[in-house]
Amino acid sequence: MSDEQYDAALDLLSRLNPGSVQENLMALISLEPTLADDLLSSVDQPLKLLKPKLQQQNDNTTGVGKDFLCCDYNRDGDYYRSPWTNKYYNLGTGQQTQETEESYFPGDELRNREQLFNDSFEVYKDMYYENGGVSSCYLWETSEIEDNTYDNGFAGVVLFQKGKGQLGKWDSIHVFEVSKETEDAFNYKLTSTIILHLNDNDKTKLGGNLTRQVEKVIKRQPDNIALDEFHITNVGSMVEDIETQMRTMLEVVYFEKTMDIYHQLKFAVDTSDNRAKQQEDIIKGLQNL
Amino acid sequence: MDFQKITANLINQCLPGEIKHAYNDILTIVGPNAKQELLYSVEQYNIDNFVPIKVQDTPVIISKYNKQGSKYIDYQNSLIFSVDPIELVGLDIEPYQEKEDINVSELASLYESLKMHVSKKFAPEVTTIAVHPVADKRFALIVSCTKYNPSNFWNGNWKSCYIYDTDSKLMEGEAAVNVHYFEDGNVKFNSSKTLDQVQTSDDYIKVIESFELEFENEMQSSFNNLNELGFKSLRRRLPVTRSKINWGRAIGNYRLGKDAASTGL
Repeated sequence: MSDEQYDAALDLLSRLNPGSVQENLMALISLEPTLADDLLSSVDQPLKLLKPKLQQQNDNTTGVGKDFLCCDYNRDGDYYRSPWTNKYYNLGTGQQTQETEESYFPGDELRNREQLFNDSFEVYKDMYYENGGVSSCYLWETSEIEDNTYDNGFAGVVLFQKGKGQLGKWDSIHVFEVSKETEDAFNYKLTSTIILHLNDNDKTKLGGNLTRQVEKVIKRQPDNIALDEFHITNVGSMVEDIETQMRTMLEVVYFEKTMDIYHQLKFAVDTSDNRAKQQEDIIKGLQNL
Repeated sequence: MDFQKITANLINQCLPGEIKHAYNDILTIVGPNAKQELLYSVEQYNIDNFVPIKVQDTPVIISKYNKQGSKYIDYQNSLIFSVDPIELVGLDIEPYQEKEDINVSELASLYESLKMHVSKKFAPEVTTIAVHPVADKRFALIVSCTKYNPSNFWNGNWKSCYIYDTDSKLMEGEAAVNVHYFEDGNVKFNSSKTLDQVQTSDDYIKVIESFELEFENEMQSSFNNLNELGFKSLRRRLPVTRSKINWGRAIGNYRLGKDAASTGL
C-alpha cells in the first residue's frame, strides 16, 4: 500500500454513499488488501452491538449477559472485550472466549477508571437516550506506564447507540486523549463523530455523519479532587456539550440544509398556492366537524 | 465478485458532481491497467444519471435512447458526437442527418412543452432538458438539473424521465433527487418516486406537474415523519430533569433516584 492509495481510498469514501460505508470498505479492501488495517482503524463505521450468551443459567455476576458496543478499540480478531465483564466474546455467536496472551486488558488502576467511566456514561445514556439506548466505554494507555497510575495521561472512546425501528439509527463515537499539561492541569482532546441514518420506507433517505473536534486545558480544582473523579467530570461534560451541539447541527443539516439545497434546483411550490390549499383544508376540516 | 462488478458498484453510488474525483481515486487504488473498464463504468453512470455533456458549449443530455453505436445524438441541434466521460465534453462533433422514421415535428413540439414546464419550476441556469425517441410514437422526456457548489460544501441533482406515447397517450416515468452536504462530514439525502402508467389526454404536462407536486408533498411529509418520529426519539435535547448532568461522584445519585422510583420506594 502506498500513501497515495490510502489517501485516494479516504477521498473516495467521502464521495460515495455514506450509507454503504461498510460495504465500500470491504470493496476497497478486496481491490487492495494491504489497505485493510489502516482503513479499518481510521474510518468510522456504524457500531456493532454484541449480545453475550450466558455461560451458565442463573449466572448473576455483574454485567454478565449485558449488551455492549464494538469498534476497533475493543477488538481482538473476531472477538470484542465487554466493558462490563472485561472478557472477550465472539461477535457472531456471543460466546465468551479464552483470552490469548496478546489480548489487551487495561491495568488494574485503568480498569477501575474504565468501570467508573462506564457507570457514569450509562447514567448519561439513560438520561439522554432513554429506553433502547446502549453505551460502552473503553480506555487504554497512551505512554509508558509510570508507577501504574496513569497520572500523565490516557485515552479512550465513549460509544452510544440507539435504533428506532426501521426509521432511524444513531451511533455516537467520542475518541478522547488526556495528557498532563502542567503540574496541576490536563489537556483534553476530543473527536466526536455521529453517524445518523433516517429512512422512510426506502423512498426518502437521510444519512451520513458529522465530525467535530474540541480541545481544552482544565486546571485541577480543588487540587485534592480524586483524579478519577476529575477526569470523568471533564470528559463527561465535554461529551455532553459536544453531543448536544452536534444534535442541533444534525437537525439543521438533515432537515433544513438538504431542503434548501433541493430548492436551489427545483423551486419551492408557489407559497400563495400553498396558502390557498391550507385554507381549503381548514374549511374542509371545519365542514367535516 | 469480480473486479468489474466491484468498481462499477463503487462508481454507481457516486454522489452528484463527484464522478471525476471518484474515477481518479479508484484509478490510483487499482492502477492504470483498469482504465478502460473504469471509463466504461463512468460512461454508464453518466447515462443513468443524465449527466449533461458540453457539446459546443451547450449542455446536452445523453441517455440510452440517443446512443447510436459509440456516439450520441443531439436531436435539438442535429449533431452527433462522442463523449469524454471524465471531462464531460463532446468530441468528434458532426452534423446529424435525421432518419425518416423519427417524427421530427412531434419531437420538437414535445420539446417546447417540456421547456415551458421546466421554465418556472427549475433553476434555469442549471437545468437541461431533452426529448429522445424511444420507439415509433414513443418519446422520453428528460429533465436533468445539476447544481454543484463545492466551495459551500454541497452538490445536488434532480433527474426525471417520462416515457410518453403520442398515439395511446399513455405515460409512465420516475423522478429522483440527490443532495450531498459535506461540511464537517458527509451527509446524503435522496428520494425518488415512480409514476405508474397513466392514461393522459393531451394534458400530459399537467400529469407531470401534478406527479411532481405529489412527489414534493410526500418528501415533505417524510421529512416531518423522520424528524418527529425518528430523529427526536433518538437522543433528547436535554434530560427529563431539564438540566445538564451533574458529573463526578454525585452521578450515582441519579441511579439511586431511578432505582428508588422503579422499586416504588
